[in-house]
Amino acid sequence: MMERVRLEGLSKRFGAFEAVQDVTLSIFEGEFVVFLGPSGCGKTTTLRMIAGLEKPTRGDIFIAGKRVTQLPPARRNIAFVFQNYALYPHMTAFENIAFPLEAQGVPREEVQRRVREVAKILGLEHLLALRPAQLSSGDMQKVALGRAMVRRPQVFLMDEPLSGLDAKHREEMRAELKRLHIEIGATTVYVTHDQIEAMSMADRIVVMNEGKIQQVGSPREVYLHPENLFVAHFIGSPGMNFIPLVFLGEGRGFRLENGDVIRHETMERLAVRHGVRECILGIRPEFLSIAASGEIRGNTVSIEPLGYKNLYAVEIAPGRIIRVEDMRRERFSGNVSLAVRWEAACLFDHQTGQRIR
Amino acid sequence: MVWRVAKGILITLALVFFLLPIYWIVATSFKQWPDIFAIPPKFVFRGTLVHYLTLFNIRPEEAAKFGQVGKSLFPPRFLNSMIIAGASTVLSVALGTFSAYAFSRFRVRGENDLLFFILSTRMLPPIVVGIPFFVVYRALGLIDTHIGLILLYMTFNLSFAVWLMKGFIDEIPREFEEAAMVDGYTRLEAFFKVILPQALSGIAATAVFCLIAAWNEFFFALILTSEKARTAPPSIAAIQGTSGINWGQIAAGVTVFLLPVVVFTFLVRKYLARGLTFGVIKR
Repeated sequence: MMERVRLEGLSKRFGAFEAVQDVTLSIFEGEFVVFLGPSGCGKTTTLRMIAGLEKPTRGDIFIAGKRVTQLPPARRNIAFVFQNYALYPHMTAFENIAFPLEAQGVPREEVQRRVREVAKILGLEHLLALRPAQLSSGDMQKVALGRAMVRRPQVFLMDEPLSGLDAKHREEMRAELKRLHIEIGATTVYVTHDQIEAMSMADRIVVMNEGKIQQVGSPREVYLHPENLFVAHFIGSPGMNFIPLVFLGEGRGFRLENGDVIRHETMERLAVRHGVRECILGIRPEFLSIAASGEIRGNTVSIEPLGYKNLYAVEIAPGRIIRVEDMRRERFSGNVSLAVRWEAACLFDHQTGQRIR
Repeated sequence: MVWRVAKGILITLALVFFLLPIYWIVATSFKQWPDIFAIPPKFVFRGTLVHYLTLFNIRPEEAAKFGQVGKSLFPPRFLNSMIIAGASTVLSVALGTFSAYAFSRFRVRGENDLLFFILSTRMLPPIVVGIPFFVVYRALGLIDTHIGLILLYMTFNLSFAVWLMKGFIDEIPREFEEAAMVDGYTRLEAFFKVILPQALSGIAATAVFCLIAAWNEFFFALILTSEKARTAPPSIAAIQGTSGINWGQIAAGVTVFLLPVVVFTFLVRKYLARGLTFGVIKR
């Protein structure tokens, strides 16, 4: 696979604030990469540096093998879709889409042809004569996409493009974006704080926090095999349960907060190999179930029936409440015991927050 | 209903209050000499164009009857006003727009102090700086020159233009020029193609204020010009003949003097209405 964008040790400092710290990443041709993280995590700053709208403090950016760190945005051959669309209010939809082509001095007939071609793909043909103020937010978003597509850039950069839409349009546009990506095979870097968007569209997700990359992986990888407590907590809704354990030594198991001891050979071996004592067991609600004789005892605090499943809140030690999903119809209450699907459990080092594997 | 009637009456009163002086001047400019002084004032009178004709030297022999010596100087001075007010307005708005853009978009060291400093140039009453300006202008040879007054008016209006335009440009999301820059344009091209069209209403509002201020300026025009570059305001005030103040010609001069500003404001009113309410409505 050809590398399309490469970030090397990219850092950005605003005064004393380190917005982005030492980001190194390769993005390949045709890939849909999503930067995911809470607000202020540096994802948008990273995107803006790729676009050339922010100058990096350190590090380099390569697009299609060429070092572009010092080039102005106009010379990077990229397209940027803004959160608020940034359609030019004094131009019609047609003029908006044609705007990047005019900068390149494309002949008039070809501008006509290419704008219409893009409008056809997006289903905008009947709206080309309208101004942005006359368009719905969904159509404005499509015009913004059209403006990005028309110049056939090396890479599409999108900054939370769906956040201005209502839930229904967002779902539609998500599917639309996915379809466009498959249809034109454009390399795309997409920034969002919405994990559903990230999960549903990404080939790879780059999870960021406090300016640093936390993990890079497919949606499945970041969901099932989080590298650290932040990723485990941030991905999934409700997030992963964290159960503090104290390792007692090989053959003796782990002690829970309530004093019970649980045994699991593989986990014990991991703990021995890494020489940890205090660790955290991470397990998603759907990999816990209420069982006749499970490993963890607890007391149900609440039940949220979600139609096809019940979501329980179970107190396993004073103040320690974990979430459990159960597909069965009957509702359990009072004292229960929980069975762990160990193959889906993760063990984290309490000290570093890193996954032990 | 009662409110609507009351509102109508209030508006009428306000209109009468503000428009009566203008009516008075315009009416006086068309009145014959004795009618100008008639008490009670005449609202119905036989009109005459004589004041206009003498003002523009079309009937100089009529002017002589009022004791005027030589030709009326109004036409060249009216032209001076047009040149000086027009040029200074264009310059203040252009420079103001560029500086406002810079203040709005770039991290300028000491931005707030600089902006305050710019505004502070308006805090002195003009009369305080009248004499220093006179001395400096004499040393520089700028007394009684067009460029002298243009520079002066531009300087006075610039602070105003910068502040006003900064407000307007702050309201234009920076994503617009960022989008244009990504789309393949330089910052300057983005400014002209994307920012300027959207700043038009602000520019129109700023231009009207600058134009009115420069057009009406009396004090500096009086002390810094004498002949060649004298503008209309001091020369209208000086219209008099040997037999006293020539009120008819003054009224005609004022009426003609009002016209350009009225016409300009009327031309840009489409932008102005939007400009004056800009920022009030959340978009």
